Amino acid sequence: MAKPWKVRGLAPTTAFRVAARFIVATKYAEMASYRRATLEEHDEDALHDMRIGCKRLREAVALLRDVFPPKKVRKARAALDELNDAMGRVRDCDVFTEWLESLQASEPSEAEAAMIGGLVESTQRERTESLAALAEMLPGLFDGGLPQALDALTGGITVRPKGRGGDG
Amino acid sequence: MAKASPIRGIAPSAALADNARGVIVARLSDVLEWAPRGRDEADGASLHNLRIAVKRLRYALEFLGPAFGEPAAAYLEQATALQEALGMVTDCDAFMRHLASHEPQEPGLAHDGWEGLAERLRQRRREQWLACMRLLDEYDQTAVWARIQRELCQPPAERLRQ
Repeated sequence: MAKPWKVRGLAPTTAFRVAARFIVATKYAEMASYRRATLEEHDEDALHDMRIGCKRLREAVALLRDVFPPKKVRKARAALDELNDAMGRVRDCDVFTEWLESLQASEPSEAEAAMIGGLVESTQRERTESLAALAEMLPGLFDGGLPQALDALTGGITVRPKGRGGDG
Repeated sequence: MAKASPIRGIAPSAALADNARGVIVARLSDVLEWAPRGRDEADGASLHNLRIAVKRLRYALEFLGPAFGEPAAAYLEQATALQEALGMVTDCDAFMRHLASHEPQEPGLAHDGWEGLAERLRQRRREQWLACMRLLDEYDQTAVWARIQRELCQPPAERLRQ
């Protein structure tokens, strides 16, 4: 799993409002940095890292919500929930398949092996559908609703971490 | 999913450190509320709520760590380890729901295979749940929650007086 990006310039004396903006902006940049590899290169690791990045951003907005206007927080959270759910559906298929594959290696009975085979197949079909739905949703979300909703919280702060090729 | 407790006394113009203490107080109180109920092996919903409470504490420590310096880093590691351990149990519960939706309706070979997988899953859940309980016991014995309360939830002047 990719390490979380550090939020630069935070000190105990930083005003909470300013810190909150930088935390949210950094977490958005972190998540968005996996966009190209996920969408254009169909990189599975990037998809996983983007899902973790989405979780961090979602938690940051939830944790710091008292600092921001409630209406804007609701908008950002709705977009992030949608993305998180879509990514979660793919992840659920992956972890279930992982478990099934671990059973295949543990000398299952004939009846169990047949059930495992059927479940792997149906879970893979489910994953393909979930991934297609996610791929369809991502461009619209990244090109419109999500950055706008987050800009409304951060005041348009752009974070470009040193030494990283963030494309967000 | 249980709602997060409200954070009292947030002052956006005040310093990160002053506000961060209030955030950790709220997130820790949720963990303390769910920790006893999360120990009931059969109560998957409470264990799920405990995992969510620990996750929220973990991210509070991760995001607001710069307000506290070194002590927060160790507690962040402990919260992350517990969240991951609890997640292994809730994953088993999710697998069980998924598996249940594929239960063959008629007795026979397919049903025998399904029952075998369900039993293996019950065993796996028990092992993961026991691992969680060991971690919770360790945190109780080393007073992790009490130390977070003392070191991160109180203003420095109050800590010096104790």
